[in-house]
Formats: sequence, structure tokens, C-alpha cells
Amino acid sequence: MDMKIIDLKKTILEDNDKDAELLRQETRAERVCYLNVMSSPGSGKTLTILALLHAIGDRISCGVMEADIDSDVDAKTIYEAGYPSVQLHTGGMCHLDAQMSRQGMKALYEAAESMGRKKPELVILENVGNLVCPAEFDTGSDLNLVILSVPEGDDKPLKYPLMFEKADLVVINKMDSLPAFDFDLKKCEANIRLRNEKACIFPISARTGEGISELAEKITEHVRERLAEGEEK
Amino acid sequence: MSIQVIEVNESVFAGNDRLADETRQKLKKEGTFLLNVMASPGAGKTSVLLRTIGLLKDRYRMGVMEADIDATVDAEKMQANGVRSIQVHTGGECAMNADMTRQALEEFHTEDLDLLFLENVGNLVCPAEEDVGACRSIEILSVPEGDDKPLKYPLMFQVTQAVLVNKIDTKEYFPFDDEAVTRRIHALNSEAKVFFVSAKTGEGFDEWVRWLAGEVDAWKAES
Repeated sequence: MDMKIIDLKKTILEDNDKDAELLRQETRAERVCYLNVMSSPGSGKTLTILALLHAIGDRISCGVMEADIDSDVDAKTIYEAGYPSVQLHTGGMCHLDAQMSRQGMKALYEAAESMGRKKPELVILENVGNLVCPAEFDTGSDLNLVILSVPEGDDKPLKYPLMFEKADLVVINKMDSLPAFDFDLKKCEANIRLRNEKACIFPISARTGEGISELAEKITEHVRERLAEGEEK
Repeated sequence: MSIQVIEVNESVFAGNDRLADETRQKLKKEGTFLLNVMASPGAGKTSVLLRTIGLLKDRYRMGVMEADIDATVDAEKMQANGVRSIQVHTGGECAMNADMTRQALEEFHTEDLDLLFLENVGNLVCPAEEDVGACRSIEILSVPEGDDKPLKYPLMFQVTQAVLVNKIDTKEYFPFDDEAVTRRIHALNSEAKVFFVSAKTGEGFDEWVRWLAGEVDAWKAES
């Protein structure tokens, strides 16, 4: 088959890698684990984060930064669940970078303090709903978690390669809706593997709780490693 | 309760409005109606277009420009269905802009088409900021994404003339309030048309396609 492909020019974006590396060193020194959660709009980031908080919130102190172009519905949801949260408005920007992360963390620590909570050991960022731009900007996170939901289709790793390359953990959400969609889990996993050989893949349903304990265990393990690293020093 | 809101600085991108206007003039001269189709990844852009084209195939000569960061799956799907199409790779960019669209039009040779669809990159943020030179723009919002999306991505709903709420056949799996989403869309854009459809079952397509054909015919009559 003859397919015409036009490769358009790419503009070079501002580099924030140095700043991200610095933030990573700072958070490590403070023994904070920074988890960056990315996905399309409506893949279930907020519900997945809530399910995680319920699973690990009594063992690990957590706080959530909600990044959106507008509204504060997500930060309210987290706050109402009893966890420190801040809403970050990106001023129209399609992603968060390291500098914005730093501003958000400072505000989150203050929010935790004002709630009488200890400083979060796990800072979760719910990035802007977008499969493109957030992958291009290192936020300074320790772990990148990408959520792909069943209704979006199993071909997304083919179309948004960088996002899946950058992932440490890939969550396949809304597994309970599988009967309504032509979604092939095996094919999806194979498509993810084309982009990323190492990422751990977790099929879950944030709504029913399926697969949440395995995901929570993995993240807990990572946070414990981070805390132990701090103790060694 | 009070939620802390932090306004982070926005960088200003150069406008591409002049180029977009030139494209619109060129399309007008050639009689090709360009529809910019935007949505989140996986909202069903390709399926909506395939069904729409199927319903209009006796009426218009049509083509599709598929914009993606990578892959050719969508253009392949179009061609497998006998639809004239090209795949445009944006080189990592999160949206088509006026210059990219102009390049794609030059390569595709669309002069003989009545109706040309641009399936933009799956994204609710960046494509809303770029005028590509289209005659009309639509947004496809799918039921699984949730009825709160107009609150979080307001610009997308302000720059589009119609919103297609897709995947209404999956409502038993997802809480989705038709009335709330319509209210939220109209709060941002009082003139936006809202159509509830399922590209899978075909429900709601008659009304949407009638509107689209009306827009195309009215635009052509102006020429």
C-alpha cells in the first residue's frame, strides 16, 4: 500500500532538563518521592489517584498537585477525601515543567502544614490531560506513571510514542468497561513494549478497585526505597 | 473550604492568523470546505469521520488529512475504506498550525474536493490555540472522558461551532450527565451546537450530518 507521509518541521523547545535534574536532587535530599501522573483528558487520573490514596494513605504521607488549564474540581475532590492538595493553573500551557513543579511543591507543603499534616513523603502530580506535551517536559519527577484507558483504544502507544517511552509505570484503566469496546489487552501490551521494554504494566479499574493493590504495592516499594536511601546518608 | 490556586506564567506564542486567513481565501476560491476536527486521544475522531463520510459520499467529494505525531494507522483505515487521505506527521508537535496545514494542502492537492476533513492531533489544549485556516471547527467529546471536560479545557469549547458527544452507547459504564455537559458547553459558547452520537451504532448521526451539510452548502453558496 502506498501511504503518503509528510514530515513537518519541528520547532525547538526551551530546555528545562537542568532545572528538572536539580529539583530531583532537592527532593531526594528531602526524602520526598515525586510521582508524575500523565494521561489523555478523562482517562481517570483523579480516580486512580484517589484509589491509590485510599490504599496507601495510612502508611505514607501523601499530597497531590492538580494541574489544569482551568477549574479546581480535581483539587476539591482530593481535599474532600482528606488529603492535602493544591490546584495549579498553567495559564493555558499544555504541560507542567520543573519550575512549575517547584512552585507547586512549596504551596503543597504549606497546604499540608495548614491541615496539621506532616510533610508529604509522596508528592503526586496530576499533570494536564494530554498525551503529547507533558512527555516532552521533565518535571523533575522520580517516577512517571502513564494511564491509558480502555475506551481510548489499544493503538495509542503507536500514535503517542514519547509518552510511553517516558513511562516507568503504565496503567491500563477502566478494565471494567472492556465489554463495551474493541480493546485487545494483549495487543495493547505489545504496542507498549514496542516503545518501552521495562515499564511495569498494571491493568486496573479505579472504579471497581481491580488491580489497585498491585499498583499501590509497587509505588509503596519505591517510596520505601527512597526513604531508606535517605537514612543511609 | 478553599482550594489554593496558583497562576503559573504563560509564554506567548507567535500568532499565525495571517497565514490561516490566506488558507481560508485559497479554499474559498477552490470551493473546498475545510473542517478542523479536534478531540482527546481516543475520543473517536476517525470512527466519526468514517461514518460521516459514508453518509455523505453521494453528495460530496471528500478527503481526510490525518495528523499524528507518529504512526499511519488512521490514514490506513481511511484508505482501506476507500477514502482519499494523507498522513501528516507533526514532528512531535502537539497541534497542527496554519503553516503545517498549508504544507499538507500543497502536497495533497485538494482543489477538486468539496469537503476536506483535518483530523487534528489528539489533544484538548494546543489545537484550540492554533487557527489552521479551517472554515469550521468541531470538537468530539466522548462519554468515557466525563461531562466535566468543558470546565477544564474551556478554550476548546469556545473556538468550535459544534460539539459531538460520542460513544453514547457506553453510558451504562460511565456516569455522564447530558444536561450538565450541554449547560457547561453553552456557558462557554452559547451558539455551539451539541449533538449526541455513537459512531459505533450510528445513533444521532442524521442530525449531525444534516447540520454539517447545511454549513457546507451555505458556505459554498457564499462563494
